Amino acid sequence: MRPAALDHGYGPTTKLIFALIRVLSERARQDAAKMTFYRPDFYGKLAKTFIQDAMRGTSAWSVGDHELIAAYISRVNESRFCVGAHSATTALANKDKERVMSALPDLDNAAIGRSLRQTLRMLGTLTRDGRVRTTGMHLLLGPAFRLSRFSRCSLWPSLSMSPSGFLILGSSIEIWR
Amino acid sequence: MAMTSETDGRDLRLALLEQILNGPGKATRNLRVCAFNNKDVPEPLRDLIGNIVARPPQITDADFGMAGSAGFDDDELVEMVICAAVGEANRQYEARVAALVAAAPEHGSG
Repeated sequence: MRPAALDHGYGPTTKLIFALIRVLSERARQDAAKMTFYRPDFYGKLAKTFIQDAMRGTSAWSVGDHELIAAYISRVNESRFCVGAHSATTALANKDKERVMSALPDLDNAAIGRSLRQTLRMLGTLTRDGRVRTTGMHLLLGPAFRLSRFSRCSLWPSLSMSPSGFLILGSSIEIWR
Repeated sequence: MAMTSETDGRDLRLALLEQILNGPGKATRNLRVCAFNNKDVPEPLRDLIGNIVARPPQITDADFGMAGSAGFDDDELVEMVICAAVGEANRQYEARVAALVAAAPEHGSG
């Protein structure tokens, strides 16, 4: 029983975008996209700019890393739509689908670098528990890693990006059926 | 001076919060704030907002049915869902920054 208002009120360009998403994602429902494009002055316009900055702005992380982080947090949030979308993007960016598929279910043995693994672990804990112990951050910032990689600016995208609440939003509306 | 992605993002985050909480909308400002904070949410909305924040996969038709039968229309519900989800995102963001600052004060609020 999701709000019927989300099924109406879109222009031709947006409808075309929905059609493309439907084809590319092989999913009939695209509630996260509808939420973003519905009455964009309330939420979508600013949210898209914010997410674009977080996911593609200046960062020590690669595009593939960003998308892997998003896919991993989506998995923690149990958002199937977002797991699929971000997994596909990181597989394309990294040209390595196995890397993505191995990291999501088995972080400890995934074929990823230690710093990315620790970051994913911290973000997963925070998403599940709503907080993270300082020791978790020490693992990230410890001497085993190059501190410059974890300057606050570098960490910003993983701090602010969509995985936390925006994917909660995605997973919420995904099940409005 | 060119802004870093961090300062861009910080400004964008604050602009988004300002818009959804205080900008034009169908739901009252008070309701949006309650949903954002998941606090003092009126009874008909409590299950819906609580599930969005803590258990999104467990949202049911009944959650929306209860809210709808209490007189909230689709636009109001959409706004409150957005406020609840962004509110949780914001709390997680603030928790991350607080943990980072506690672990490495040199990366504080500069």
